[in-house]
Amino acid sequence: MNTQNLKLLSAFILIISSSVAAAEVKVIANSNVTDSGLSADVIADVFLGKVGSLPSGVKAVPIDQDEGSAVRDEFYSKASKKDSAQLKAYWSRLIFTGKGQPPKSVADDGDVVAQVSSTPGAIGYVSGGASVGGAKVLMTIP
Amino acid sequence: MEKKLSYLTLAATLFLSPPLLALTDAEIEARLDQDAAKIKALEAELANAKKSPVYEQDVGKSSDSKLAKQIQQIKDKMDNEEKNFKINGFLTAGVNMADDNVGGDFAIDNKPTIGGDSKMGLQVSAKINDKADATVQLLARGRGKGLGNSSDPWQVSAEWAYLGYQVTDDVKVRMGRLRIPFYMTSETLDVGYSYPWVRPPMEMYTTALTSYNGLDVLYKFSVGSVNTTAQLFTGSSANMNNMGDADQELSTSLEDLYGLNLTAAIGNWTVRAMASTLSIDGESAVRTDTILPDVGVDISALYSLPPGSIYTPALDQYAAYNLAALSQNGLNFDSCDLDQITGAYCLGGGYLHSSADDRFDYYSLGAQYDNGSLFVMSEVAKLKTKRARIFSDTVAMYVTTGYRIDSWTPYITYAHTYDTESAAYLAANNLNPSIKPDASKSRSIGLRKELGSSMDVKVEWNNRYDFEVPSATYGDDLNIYTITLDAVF
Repeated sequence: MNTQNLKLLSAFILIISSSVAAAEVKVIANSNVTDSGLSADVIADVFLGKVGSLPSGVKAVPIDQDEGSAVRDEFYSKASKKDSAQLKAYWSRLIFTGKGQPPKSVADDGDVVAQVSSTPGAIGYVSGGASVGGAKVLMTIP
Repeated sequence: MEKKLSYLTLAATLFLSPPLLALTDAEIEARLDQDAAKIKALEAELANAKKSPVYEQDVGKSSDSKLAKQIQQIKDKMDNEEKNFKINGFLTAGVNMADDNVGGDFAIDNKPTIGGDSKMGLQVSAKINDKADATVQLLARGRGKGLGNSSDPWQVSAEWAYLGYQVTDDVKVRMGRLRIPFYMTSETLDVGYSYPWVRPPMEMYTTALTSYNGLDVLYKFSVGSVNTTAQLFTGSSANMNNMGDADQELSTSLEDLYGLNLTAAIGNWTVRAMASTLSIDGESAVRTDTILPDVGVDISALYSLPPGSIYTPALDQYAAYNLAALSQNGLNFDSCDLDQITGAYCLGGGYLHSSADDRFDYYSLGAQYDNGSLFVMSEVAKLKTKRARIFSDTVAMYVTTGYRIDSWTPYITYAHTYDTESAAYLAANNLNPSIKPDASKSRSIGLRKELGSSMDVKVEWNNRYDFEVPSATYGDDLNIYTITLDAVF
């Protein structure tokens, strides 16, 4: 396959993925989180319990959204390439070996904002259009 | 809304009054109208009630600060309780069937049976304080039949029961009853939902010993962007695990287990290596009518008797030869039960007891690639025994690959296992009657379908072939069909 073809292919994939992609997701954090330029991988690692602290040394407190919410599915499929079933399988491997429990989850964007704003080290995600109140936006995942 | 309610009423009426089926459309219509009127009246009543002062006082002012505070307090308390106390569970309901009654750990029969692959676990985890937690996982497995207990196939055991202590953010120590982490999915062997197959490849995941009493240390660290976990484990297993059937019972207890595994994950890749050493104390009890020759068989060679000696039940004196002769064969039999009926040793009804110990070195290496859609996982393990008294030296491997398309995951597996000891060596040294020089290969095709995000159903066709010792009944080709339903909650 030559470069021209590759370019065409990637353009094609881009078009397809952008037309399929739904809403964007905003990752928000408590104001005491000073890290900037975090990658989506690091954020995913925090939510998957793979890392406990952010690069700055702040102990991260992930605030998840309840199972079944659209923004949750969106966040995990984009940040960790896992759908809700794969996520469940992932957590069952940790839960039933005593190696971890999923993060605390709340009902909706508003609750996430409230929890993140009031909890030091908290990191959450909300849908792109949500107002973030006293929390700060770490990144936007398109 | 009203329409929905009408449907609901219709459904309820249909359910409650079968004669309704005999009604005409017009009559049904009239009834529905009646019901709709009733609902309207109820709604009006409710609206009136809301306006009443009592409602205002009790419910209407729920936004009042005092009540709101109380509700918040209760909510916080419930949150805390939830944080300190977790209950999780998993279950697999499995039906399996093969060309022949092959039994084994999974009690596979030649007709569809529920049991061998079925299991259910319940885990309770309590946080004692910021650093300490206690976890108990009870597991009921439907494989008693395969263990020679057909009257009650359900065997309940505590696979996990430990006290955990978080020493630092990265180091955790656990003491109590733990799963032996020999392989990649050893610790979740019974959580069907957590792995792609109906059951982990039997060539590698033999399940005679799954738990031990002792401690492990988990240490999480990062090397660049590689997330690594080291697990150091040591202990013993006092409880005996029976294998085989009612005629041949072998129990093995495990001592001086020391092991270390390292799991490194980067991006889509996970690599795992394990090394361990342990000693095994084996106890075997073999029903003597299964080892005594059949009536009419020439036993001259077996018991060093004059040529032409034929075994008859009357020749009780040969029972004495039996023990001596078997011992001469290099097998170290300790005792022989007195048969209650014949009064002879080691005749029908008696068990021949023997014991042996051995020392193992055990190694495994695994790798997994998973990009969200495509996954490949493979493991290879080597068991090196010092004397081959209970198990044989074995090499086992498998490779599985699958591809997720929405909620469907088709997968294929190839597995291979072989002994590295000769038949003569095993016959002379191994006291486990079920251990014969063995090798087999298997190929499987399966399909997993997600049902929501906590349940799945899997079907698998497993074909085992290339047996070193072909079976008298199914020869060199055995098909096993399995369907399982997995759930986690």
